Amino acid sequence: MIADALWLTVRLALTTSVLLILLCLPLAAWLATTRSRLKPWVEALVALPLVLPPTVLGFYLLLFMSPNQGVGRWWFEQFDQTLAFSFWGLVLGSMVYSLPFVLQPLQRTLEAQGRGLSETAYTLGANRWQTFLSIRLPLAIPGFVAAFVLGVAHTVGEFGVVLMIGGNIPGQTQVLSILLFDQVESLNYALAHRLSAGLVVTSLLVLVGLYRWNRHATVRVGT
Amino acid sequence: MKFFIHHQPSGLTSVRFEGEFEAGARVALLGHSGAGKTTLMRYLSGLERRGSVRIETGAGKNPVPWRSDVVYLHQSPIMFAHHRVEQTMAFAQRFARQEQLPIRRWADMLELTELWSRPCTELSGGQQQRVALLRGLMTGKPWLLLDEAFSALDGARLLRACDVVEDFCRLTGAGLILASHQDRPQRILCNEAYVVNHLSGQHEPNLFTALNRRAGEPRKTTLKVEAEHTEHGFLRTDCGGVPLYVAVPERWREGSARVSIAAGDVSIAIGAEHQTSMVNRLPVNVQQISDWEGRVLLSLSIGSQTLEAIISKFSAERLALQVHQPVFAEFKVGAVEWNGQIECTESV
Repeated sequence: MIADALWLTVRLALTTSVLLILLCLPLAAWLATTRSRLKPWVEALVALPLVLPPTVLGFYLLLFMSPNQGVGRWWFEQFDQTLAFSFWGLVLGSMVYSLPFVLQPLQRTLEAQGRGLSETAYTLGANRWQTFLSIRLPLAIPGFVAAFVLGVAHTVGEFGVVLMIGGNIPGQTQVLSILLFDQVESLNYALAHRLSAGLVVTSLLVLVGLYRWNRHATVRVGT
Repeated sequence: MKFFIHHQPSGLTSVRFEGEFEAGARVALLGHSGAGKTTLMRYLSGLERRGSVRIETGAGKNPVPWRSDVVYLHQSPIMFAHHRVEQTMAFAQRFARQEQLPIRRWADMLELTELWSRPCTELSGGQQQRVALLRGLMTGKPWLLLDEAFSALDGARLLRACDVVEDFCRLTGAGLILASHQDRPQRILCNEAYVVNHLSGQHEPNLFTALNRRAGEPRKTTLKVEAEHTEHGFLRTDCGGVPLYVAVPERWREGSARVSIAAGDVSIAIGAEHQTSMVNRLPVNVQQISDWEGRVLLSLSIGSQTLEAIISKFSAERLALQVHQPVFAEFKVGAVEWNGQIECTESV
């Protein structure tokens, strides 16, 4: 039971974080440099999961994944199963919920590079793409690591959205946080303690690792 | 390079630059802080495009910065923090338009060879400035825009950096636009001036007059001389038929050269009175006598050139100076600033 929940949680956290990094990279690069009037709107939209109750997100995601309309119907037709209460439904929900935690470190890192960095590369003869690949991306590695770790940690810790769109199906949608809730409801405090302590220690170690990396990376890039 | 830049940001001073710099021109960009020198350079390099802008170079009209004929060096050298010096040079080399540039020799002159494997962020400000300069030269672009690119260099390093830029411009035929609060690089490297004020500008045909007008600078005269040979441990030059001695520079060759003398370092003597510590003693004629900040400014003709001297009112009265009077301008060898040997295309 614990092993299934642990494996599902790890798969969910890694899949969500990798997909979010790929999605957020171009978005963060655009937000870091654009002077568009749309920027505050996009930033606010992306930050919504920080302030909305997870149940609100979960509710709308549940509607979004309904097999009667839109993406949910398309998914049902393609894979003959509902998107809600499936692993990929959880991935989609987690991506929405963890989006600001991945996007913002990436955006801040790219913003901190300043205009001068790109301008210097441009004036030497590198175009936008060459500048991004050769200069901005390597210098953003500390931001990537921070974004990835925060994405993983936040996905591991999520509860409300997962419960709304995944329910509590052992082996399919029952992640560690749901399993913990289940054990508390069943008054199985011994297992609940073990799960809670495990999550606390793991989270602490991840954050210590992140801060140590940040310090090392800051020294290395000399910022 | 032709340029037409008009921009009226709401509530701010309008930007208005128009003009043309000939290919290979050596332009000193003059103007006080905030006058708009950096703004102009950013427009010329394609990094700023707001407003009605037309920049025409060999690369076409309004090219994007990476296709532009201009390489622009920012006021503060910008290093790529993940690069060692050799990596940052290799990066610039990828986009070089000219092969066969003597990069190794320039690296030696800029004392960068021993820094080649050092991370860029571990370098001092002066070292970073020299790295940024060499990296910019590697592009081989037809226009080199230097925005305070020598500010952290002084003494021999400043002269060597000027030598490298001079080498680059001579070998590639590149033009130079140079903004600098130190006037020495401009006296060494430039032939003409473009004066920027309140975000607009105009050509100034006489660079040295413009430099002398610059507020806060001690008045200096730049003279054209011919470097001849070493004598008595000095470099003997010919200034309108009269010997003028200079401390032997690190690099020199026979031929045309520029030297500068601060007006306050020049003493005036009449007849046989001669201070023996003054190695240089040039026969001159008093052209003009005027007041200058409580002292007396003398314009002295030496051949077809003009030398300026500032003396006290007491000295002027004691010598009873008059216009057209023949006198001697005396100054120490140490007062003569060597300003290099770029081809003098105009009377200085």
